[in-house]
Formats: sequence, C-alpha cells, structure tokens
Amino acid sequence: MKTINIIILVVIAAAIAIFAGAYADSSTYADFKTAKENPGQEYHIVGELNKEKPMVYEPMKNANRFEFFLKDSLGNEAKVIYSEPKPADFDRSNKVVVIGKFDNPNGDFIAKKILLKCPSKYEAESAAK
Amino acid sequence: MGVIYKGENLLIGNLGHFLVALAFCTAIFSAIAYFISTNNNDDYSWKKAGRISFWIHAVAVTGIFITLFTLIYGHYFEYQYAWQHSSRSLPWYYMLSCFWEGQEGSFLLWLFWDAVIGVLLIFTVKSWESPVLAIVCLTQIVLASMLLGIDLGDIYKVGSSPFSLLREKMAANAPIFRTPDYLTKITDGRGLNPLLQNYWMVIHPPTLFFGFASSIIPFAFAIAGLWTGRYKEWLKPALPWTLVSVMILGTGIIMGGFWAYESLSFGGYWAWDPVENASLVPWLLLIATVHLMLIYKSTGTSIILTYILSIASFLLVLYATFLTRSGILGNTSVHSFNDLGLSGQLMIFMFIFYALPLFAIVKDKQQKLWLNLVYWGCFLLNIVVGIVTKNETVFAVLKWLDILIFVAISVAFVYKLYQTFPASRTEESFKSRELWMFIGSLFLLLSAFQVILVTSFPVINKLFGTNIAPPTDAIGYYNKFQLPIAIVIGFLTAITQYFKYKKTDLKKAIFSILITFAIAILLTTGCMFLFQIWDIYYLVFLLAGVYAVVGNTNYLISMLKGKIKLAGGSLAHIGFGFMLIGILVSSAKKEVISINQTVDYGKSMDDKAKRENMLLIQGDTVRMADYLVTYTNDTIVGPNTFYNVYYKGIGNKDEFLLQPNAQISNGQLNANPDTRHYLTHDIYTFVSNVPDKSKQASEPWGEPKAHQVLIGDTIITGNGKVIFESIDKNAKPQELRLNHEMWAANLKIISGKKIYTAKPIFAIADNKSFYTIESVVDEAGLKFQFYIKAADAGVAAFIETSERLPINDFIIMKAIVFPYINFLWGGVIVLIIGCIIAIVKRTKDYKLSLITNTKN
Repeated sequence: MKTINIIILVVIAAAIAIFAGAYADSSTYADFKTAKENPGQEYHIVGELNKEKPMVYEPMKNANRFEFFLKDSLGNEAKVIYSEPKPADFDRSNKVVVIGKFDNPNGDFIAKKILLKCPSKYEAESAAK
Repeated sequence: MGVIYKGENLLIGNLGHFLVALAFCTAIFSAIAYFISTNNNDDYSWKKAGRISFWIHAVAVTGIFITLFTLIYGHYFEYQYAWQHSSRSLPWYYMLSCFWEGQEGSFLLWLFWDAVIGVLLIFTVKSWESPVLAIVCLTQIVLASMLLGIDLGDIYKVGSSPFSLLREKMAANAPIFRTPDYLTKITDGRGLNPLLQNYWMVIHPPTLFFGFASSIIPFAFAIAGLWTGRYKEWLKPALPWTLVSVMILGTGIIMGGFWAYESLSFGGYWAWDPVENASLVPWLLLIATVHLMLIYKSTGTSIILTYILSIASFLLVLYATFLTRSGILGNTSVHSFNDLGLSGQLMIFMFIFYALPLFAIVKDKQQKLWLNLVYWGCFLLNIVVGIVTKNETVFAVLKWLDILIFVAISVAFVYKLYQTFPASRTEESFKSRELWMFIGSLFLLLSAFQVILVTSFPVINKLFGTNIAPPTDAIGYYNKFQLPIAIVIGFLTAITQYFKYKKTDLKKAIFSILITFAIAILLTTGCMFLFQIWDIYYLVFLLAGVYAVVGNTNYLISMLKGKIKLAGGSLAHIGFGFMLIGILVSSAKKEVISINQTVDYGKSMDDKAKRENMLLIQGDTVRMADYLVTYTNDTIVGPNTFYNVYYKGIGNKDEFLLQPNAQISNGQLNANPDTRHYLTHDIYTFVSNVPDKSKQASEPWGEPKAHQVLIGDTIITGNGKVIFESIDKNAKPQELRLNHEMWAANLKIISGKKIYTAKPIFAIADNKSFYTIESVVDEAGLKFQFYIKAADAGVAAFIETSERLPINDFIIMKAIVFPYINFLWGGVIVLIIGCIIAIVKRTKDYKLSLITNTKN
C-alpha cells in the first residue's frame, strides 16, 4: 500500500472522529419540559419573553444576577437566572435563546449564555409616523 | 393612485436602474462572447467583443457605485436605501459604511471588486483571457441580478434594487404617502447602525469582500484549465493570484477580529460565531490550495486535490454568503441578518456553480448531452415545483432528489478527475518536502471541515429534520479539535522546508531539524516561566508556535542566506508561529480582574465565572488586581457617553484613564471598550450596564416637610442627615443683575459615607414679597427650600425637605487583562509581509515563464 493512501485513510478516520465528536458534543433545541426532566443536561431553548412578569435586575445588590420569565415555543414558562448583568438591549428583544440547564427539577433555569433576537428595523418602528 | 409627488428626484434612481440593467446585460454579452471565443480556439474577434463589453460593464458597475453614493451623500431620502442606512449627520467616510450595512450594498461591493479583478485579469492573463473572463462574467451576471429588483408577478422576485423608492418598498397605502408632499415630512434618515460607525468598519468589510471576490480567480483558472484542456499550465498564473486572495482575505478576517477586540464588548477577538467561521473556512482552503499548487508546480503530483480545492474555495464563499444572507443561521448567531427573500436566488446560483466543474471536465459529446438533459431537467423541475405546489410531501421528495444530484455531481466530478489524471506510480517518500506539505494541507482541510460542519448545523437541521444545536460550550468544543490540528501544523511548518522536493539529503535535514527543535525546547522552557504556563497541553501548543518561529528563522538565515526575495514562505510561517504564541498566551492567561470579591451569592453562584462584572458607584475606588480603579464621571460627546475610569497602579507610578463608551438610544446600549495597550499586555475595559439617568430624574418628589431650625441643628431625613451650618447673608450670584437681597442656608448632607452640600436661597424682592430658589442633591435624593417667616417667637428659619430615591451614577464594568496579545497582531503583520514577498516572487516566475515560452 502506498504511503499516500495510508495518510488519506488516517485523515478520513480523523474526519469521522470530528464528525462523531461534533455530534456527541452537540446540544439540542428543546423546551423547558424536556430540560426539567433531565436536570444537569444543557439545552438551547428558544422562547419569548414574558413581559408581564417582573424582570429583576438590581445592580446595587448584585451586578451579576438577572432574572426573568421566558415562555418556550410550547408555552411552558420558567424563571431564568442569568449570572451576568442584564443585556443592554434586552427590553427590545422579542425572541430569546437561552443556553443552560436546570440544576434540579423544581429550581430555576440557570442560563449561561443568552442570544437576543431583536426585531428588525422594519418592524421596530413604522415608516409612516 | 394618481398622486403626483413633489420634490422627488427620480432621475438619479432611473440612472441607477439603467446602470444595473446595463451591467447585467453587458455581463451576459461578455460571458457569451468569451464563451464562443474559448470554444473556437481563442477566436480573436469574439474575444475582442467580450473585452469591450466587459469594459462597458466595469464602467457601469463603477457608475452604480457612484450613483448609490450620490444618493446617500445628497440625502435623497425618497430612496429607501439612503433613508434606511444613512442620516444627515453622518460624516462622508461613514457614508461608505452605509454600503455594507445593507445587503444590496454588500452585493454591489462584491460586484465592484469582481469588476476590478476582471480588468486586472484582462491585462495580465494573456492566453487565459477568454475562458477565465467567461467564468468571471458568469459571477457578474449572478451578482448583478441580485441588484435587479424585478418582480415577476407575486411569485418570485429577482434581486433587490438599492434604487427603490421608499414609497415602493414600504406599504404603498401608508398614510404618509397619500400626500404629494410627503417628502417634507421625512426630514432625516434612520441612520447607520452605531456599531458600524467605527473606522475599522470603514476598511474591514471592503477588505473582506475583496478577499471573497478574489476567490473567483483560482476557481476560474481551474475551470478554464479543465475546459480548454490545458490541464496544468493554469497553475503558474493562478498561483500569485491565489496568494493575493490568501493575503487579503486573511487581512480582512484579522481586521474583523481587531475591530471586535477594539469596539465590541464580547471580550476578545474571536468568538467562533458562525459569521466569523464562514469567512475563516474559505481562507483555510485557500491556504491549502496555495500549498498544493506549489507541490504540483515542483513535482507534478497532487493535481487532483489542487483542482478540488481551487474549486471548493469559491464554492464555500458562495455557501458562506448563503449562510449569512439567507437568515438560516437564525438561532445560532448573535449577528442578525434580514432575509431579503434572496435565499431562493442564492440557492439557484449555488446549484449552477456547483455543476460548472463537471460541465467543464466532460468532453465526450454523448456524455455532455446526457449531463445537460438530466441536470437542466432537474433544475426546471425544482423551479416548476417551487412555483406550482405548496405540498410538503412533494417538497420532501424533491429535497432528496436534490441531495442525490449533489452527491452524484461530486462523485462524477472526482471520478472524471481520476480518469483525466491517472494516479502516478511513483512512491511518495517521507524524505520529500511534498509529502509533508501534503499532510499539512490535509490538516488544514480537517480544521476547515470541523468548523464548517458545526456552522452548518442549522442547514443540516433543515435538510434532515434533525434538531441539533451547536455545543453549549462552543469555545471548549472548537479548542478540543482545533488545538491539536494547530499543533500539528505548527510542527510541520517548522520541519517541512528542510526537506527538498523529491529527494532530500536526510542527514543534513535531520541535523537542522533536531538542532532547531532543541533550541525551540529551550525557548519554550523560558517562556513557560515567563508566561507562567504549567499546563502540559498548552506547553505543547506553545512549543509548536515557538518551533515554527525558530525552524523558519533558522531556515531563512542558514539555507536562504537571508535572501529576502525567497523568504516569503519562511516569513509567513514565522508570522503563523507568532500568531500561535499570541493566541495561546492571550487566551490561556487572559484574566478577568473585575472580580467581585465582596458579595456572597450563595451556593449556586459560587464559581468565579459568575462574578465577572463589578459595580462602581461614582467616586468610589475599588481594587482590581494591582490597580485601584475609580469611576469619576461621564462625559457626553455627540451620541456617545464616555465613562471616565481612572486606574492607579498599586506600588508603582502607573496611572491612566480609560474611557469605555456607550451609545444609548431607545433603551439600547451599545458599549464600546477602551483598552490600555502595553508592549506585554493590554488592559481591556467595557461597561456592561449603566443606569438610565433620564428615567431616574423624572421620578416624582415626595411630600415636602418643613422643619423650623436654628443654626447647628440637624434634620433627620430618610436619605441621610442634614446639618444647618450657617446662613450666608450675601448669597446673591454675581451674574444676577436683580437688586434683590438673597440669603442662603449652608447645608451639609451626610448620606451614607458621602458628604454633600446644598445652598437653598431665600430672596427678598422688596419688603413685602419673597421667593425661594430650591437646591437639589440628586445623589442623595434630597431637595431643599429655605425661608424665613413669622413664627411663635418672632421670626424663624425654616428648611423644607423633599425626598425621592437617590440618583446613583454608577457603571457596571468588566476589566480583562490580555497578556502578550501583541504577538498575535505582530505575527499577522509578519504573515502578511511574507505573503507580499511570495506574491512578488511568484509573479516574477510567471512573467519569466511567459518570456521563455515565447522564445521557444
């Protein structure tokens, strides 16, 4: 067998390893119910902000704690705790992706990362004022 | 309906529409002419026709650019593009940034660069002009069609024009457009995204887009090679151009990183965001392409992979454009892009370009006929089905058919390549340079594969109905694979040059390799203590970087005898080595110094990562690592609020002011960091949250309370103690011309740890009328009135107090120390210089080969 073929085989093996690794490490988009049933497991949850319930951010007490309520696409609601300052354009966003987990089924959702989707400029304000 | 609008300048928009149409048509004509010329043995008259048409095309594209700039510069807000992306207060250089805020402008920029590249190619590629320009024109047709903005009924629209009127783009029945003079009501545009109002954003996108645009060159040459049957000659003219691509795309990417570092507050220069990844992957592929071209040029091997990669780089640029412009990244990227409804169009173009190599390589007439029939049949089927039905099952079947075609095209192309270029029978030797370069290129491909795989998760989800999300710890995940790959590549760059093409004097090579390795080990040990890195994995990574620097420096000195003309490769590798060192040290030893030590957050929050932001009340001094940090005040300049944060070193004389700033609009905060640069480290600071002061200042005051007082008395309020210290009987401000007598109460307020003063005034207009001037201390939440009036015992002094929540001026900030990040920036500069030297060298080689060819 030629050296080059061996090398190519090794590289293909590495590519498969990467593929498998990507799949093993990947997370899933889920809802709060699934996340609650699997405490400790991290998920991406896409949801909408419940603006009727309080968003709590009290920088004088703790600058690194922000709480809010999120409703996932199936309508399950959970309190989300985020250990960072309140993201600046949070109030404007309609869709939020939280990445994190429940530590226990009765606790709150602990988000370690938040992605905000702000309404596009078009929707934000109508052209004809 | 029938409204004649006043004040609109329609001429300029019509000119724009005309120029777009002209650019589109000339591109089509030019492509056809060049195509016929190529198929008729480089027929001169057709070639000339194609060339003239391309000249007109280039002029038209430049015209579109100028016209759009005129729209923005002249504030023609009747045009949607100018209205949406610019405003009157914008300086001219940021008007350029308006081009890349909108999608139409981005495509225009790409179109423009491709036109520039086309013109340069016409001048330089000689006998390759017809086939190469035919391919370039094909992309120009595609890009120009993106700007057409033609609605084919309600079914489909082709492109989106930057010259559309506002009233065409908006709901036409909006009340504002019912009046003929609606323009008088639109006084200003929406303005440019503040994030783009940054000098890096003026130069980063055009650079990046030039890199993207230039990836057409290796693609066009590879196709041209297959098409004309001059299978190998194209590498010589393509090589310097591919190096240009590598250099400029690399510069563009790193500028983006530097922009992120300097002006975005995510705390670093790279975040593995899908948008960044989409530009990184073509770059990695282009680097691999350059190395394979070099192997081919010197040894005649690895032609098949050279073809595949030259083609794949451009296809990946198209794919990246699709990813970032179609909105499919949705939930995975912090960048949000609006879908202009062009994703269908983008997919059609990918469909066409993907099959182009196969069309070029198939020579047999019968096969070509079948290919055409099957391929265009499927193409039409897709379009027709897309228009006619909305049935889910039909779409599912079609989807699998398309996937099948995609796989079939790939397999057929590779099979044809193997048929055209039978594998060589010679055994590659481990003693040869080409083998090591080949392995290095494969590792670059692995790296690219991993990045694109994870970035493509949303596409995979859409195709296969899966539900996979990117890893929750993206950085850790990428590191897991990219670190070992980078280590291997670092080592390979250090040793490979010591091998010669084909055969090597092994003894000499191994001697140099071992000596430089020993030096690298020594230096790495030194670095270990200097940088305080003890993790063995990181040390191996560090060694790879150091070894790449040492190995190539030694090669440069001892083998090339310092001949700069030949040093391109070595220098680029040295730069790469420094980049590895910079990346490792700055990220491994990056330290957040704004760690909140004082507050106990309970069990669930005990890890350090959760306390990285710190509250700084105005005037307070807080210790962060070796600094005492004070937030003194803020200054407002234009739309920016600058927060003055004063750093004072403990135990040294280091003192400096950082001014992280933010733009606050509609409750939205865009924070920009400020960084103190030292040779060995950077101190990086940004505000993560600030109070909304205007909101606080509009809070109502509580009921006033009057207190009868004597000098020396203390009033207790909810917000602190107030001491009535004295009366100033000559309190009239000097600038006041009124001849009124004014008395003021000197008040001292003790609120918490802080002490403030207040001076409410009691004024006597004449003997009968009095009035008061209040004094407000926002920081303590207190308001005072002072008056003197009749009381039980003659006259008495009264202080009236009102309370509300104190207005706190504070910032919440994060400070990070990035050590030795200059290795990264320095390495990039060395890498770019290396590329430039290599470009010069390879261009000379090519010119030389032209001369010798004509002599023969």
